Amino acid sequence: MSRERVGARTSRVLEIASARPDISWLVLWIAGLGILLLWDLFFLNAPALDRFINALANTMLAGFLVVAFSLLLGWLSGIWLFMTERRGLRTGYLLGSFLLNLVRSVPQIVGMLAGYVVLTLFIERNSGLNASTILCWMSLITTCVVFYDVTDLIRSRIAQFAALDFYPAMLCSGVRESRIINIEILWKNSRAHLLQVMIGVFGMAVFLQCSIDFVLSVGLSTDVSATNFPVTLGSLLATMDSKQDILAIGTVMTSPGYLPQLFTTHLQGVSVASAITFTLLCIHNIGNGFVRRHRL
Amino acid sequence: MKSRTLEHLLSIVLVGLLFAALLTWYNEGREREVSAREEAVHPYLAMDSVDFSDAYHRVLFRETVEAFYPSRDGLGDSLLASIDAYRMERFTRAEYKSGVSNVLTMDDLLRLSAMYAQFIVVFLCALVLTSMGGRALAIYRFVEAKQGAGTSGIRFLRRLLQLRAGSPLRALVVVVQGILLLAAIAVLYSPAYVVAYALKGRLDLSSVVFLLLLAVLTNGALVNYAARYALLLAAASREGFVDTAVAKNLSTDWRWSATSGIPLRALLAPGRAAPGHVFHHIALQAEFQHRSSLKEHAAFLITGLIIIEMALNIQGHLGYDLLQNILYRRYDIVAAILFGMFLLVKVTALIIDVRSGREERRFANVT
Repeated sequence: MSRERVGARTSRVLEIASARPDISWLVLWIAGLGILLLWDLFFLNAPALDRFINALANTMLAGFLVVAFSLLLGWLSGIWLFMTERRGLRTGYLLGSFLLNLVRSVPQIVGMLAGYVVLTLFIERNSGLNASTILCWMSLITTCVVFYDVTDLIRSRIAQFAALDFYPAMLCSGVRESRIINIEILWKNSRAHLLQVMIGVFGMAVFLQCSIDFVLSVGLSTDVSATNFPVTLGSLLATMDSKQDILAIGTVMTSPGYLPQLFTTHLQGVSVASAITFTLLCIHNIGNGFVRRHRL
Repeated sequence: MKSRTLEHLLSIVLVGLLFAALLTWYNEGREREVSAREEAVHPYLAMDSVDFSDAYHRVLFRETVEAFYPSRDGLGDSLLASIDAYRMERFTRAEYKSGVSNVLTMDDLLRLSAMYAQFIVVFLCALVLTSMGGRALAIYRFVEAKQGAGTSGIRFLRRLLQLRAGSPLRALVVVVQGILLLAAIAVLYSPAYVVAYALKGRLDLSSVVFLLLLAVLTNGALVNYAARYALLLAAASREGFVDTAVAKNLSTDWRWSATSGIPLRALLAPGRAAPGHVFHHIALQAEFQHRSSLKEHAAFLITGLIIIEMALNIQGHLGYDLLQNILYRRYDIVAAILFGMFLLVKVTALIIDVRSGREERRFANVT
């Protein structure tokens, strides 16, 4: 194939990538993680590979659980606030809005830390908790500090439609209020907006989960440490082996000849750090691309 | 506006009261628990003739207790267990080891205040730098998009495709550009602790300047801010007032520094730099809409700073102190630090709300 034809085809691919940036970044994310796993399959030792796959799966699973929990909690709280305000239940509205603003005012990592302290105490008293249950609790804690983005979106979407003739017209036609809100406004007219917020929530969940697990590697109690929690990318990065591997990245700046060894000798830490950074980069761009494509 | 201010103040007062109540409840419960246990074991520990580390004395003690209280099965064993636990705690509990009482003292407060002041300074600097840097980055990308240049990644790939054989110097320049672009992306999107550990041993991690650089450049703080601002610019550019501005003959020349184009200083002062250009109005609209999202950015920056301080384990920083005190269960200090952080977020939100309220009133022509 001639050079010109290759160039033309690549230009065409770039054009498609520019037109659908979210899809392109999604494909790139999956392909990138696939290539990373394939490389690790050949060059990373079996126990480390098992840990890495386990950590990656747990982190992604926790992220998706946070998305599901946030959607549920955000949807319920958004509707609660709208309905209490609309029906003049001032105490219910003020209480809900006060609690929501309170959650918003607590730095997310501090909220998660408080949740982990409680979870640690809980594990101390119930040593029989399995890894999946703990992962669900961890996701629920993360949900508590990120769900308000969904609540805000749901409130703004309902408010926007409630201000139009559309809303009273449907009420006059005998359509139930719950159907107007849940089906007509949120499901039929806000799916793209919700998906965009979900993408953001997923990115934030991965970032916070990895950060808290890395930070808590010192342990919150003498009886319970990070080893009692399911392994995630953050806690795997906090192990001594991975930290040594990351230190080696700095060595490359002064001795560039050391670069090839990063991808063979220091693979565990480099793989974990790459997976976290690459995921955050791709999720950020998927979210932005989605907003651009749908003009949200 | 007044209701929002009142809500902020009310939540500060309520959370303060909640913290105080929880702390009092915790301290009282703890004191009761400690004194009950001490009361139970002290009379026995005061017996000079019994050495509880001696096996013979322990058996003798148990049998004596059982002889005195024949109706209470196992009392000797449970007393011995309590005495052992008490003696063990004298060696393992932080407050016994350090001899410091477990109540927040004036010294603690002074130490925390110094760390808190440093935290606020770093936070404010990071807030100013990320908002100015993020805004400049967003404007740059917006104008480049208007010029039809595409994103930096796409532009780089196009440049790579245009390389022809026989131009090694150009190829080298493109490769170096690619490496720098990748490194910049890696730093901007990496969590701070990855970058910090990569640089450990080469830089002084405990310096405030390094902390500030990490807070601004890593954790995605800058790129997230830029992306949000760029989306607002894009949304504002689709509004009807832009067509009106074009009809009124305002410039739509998107070239940098051209006579009717956009001056480079628009990157730093978008609202003042190009009054005869349609961009001036787009920037004003985006800036106005962006005010309210500054609160989220501030909260995210605080989260980022705490993560950095905790992850780097630097003594003398608020985040490190918070983690250490959770570990040693000094919940009075933990509560003080948490309340300080809550206060910082609330005060920032209050200031932003007051400023946004003023702007809203100005735009709505309400005096």
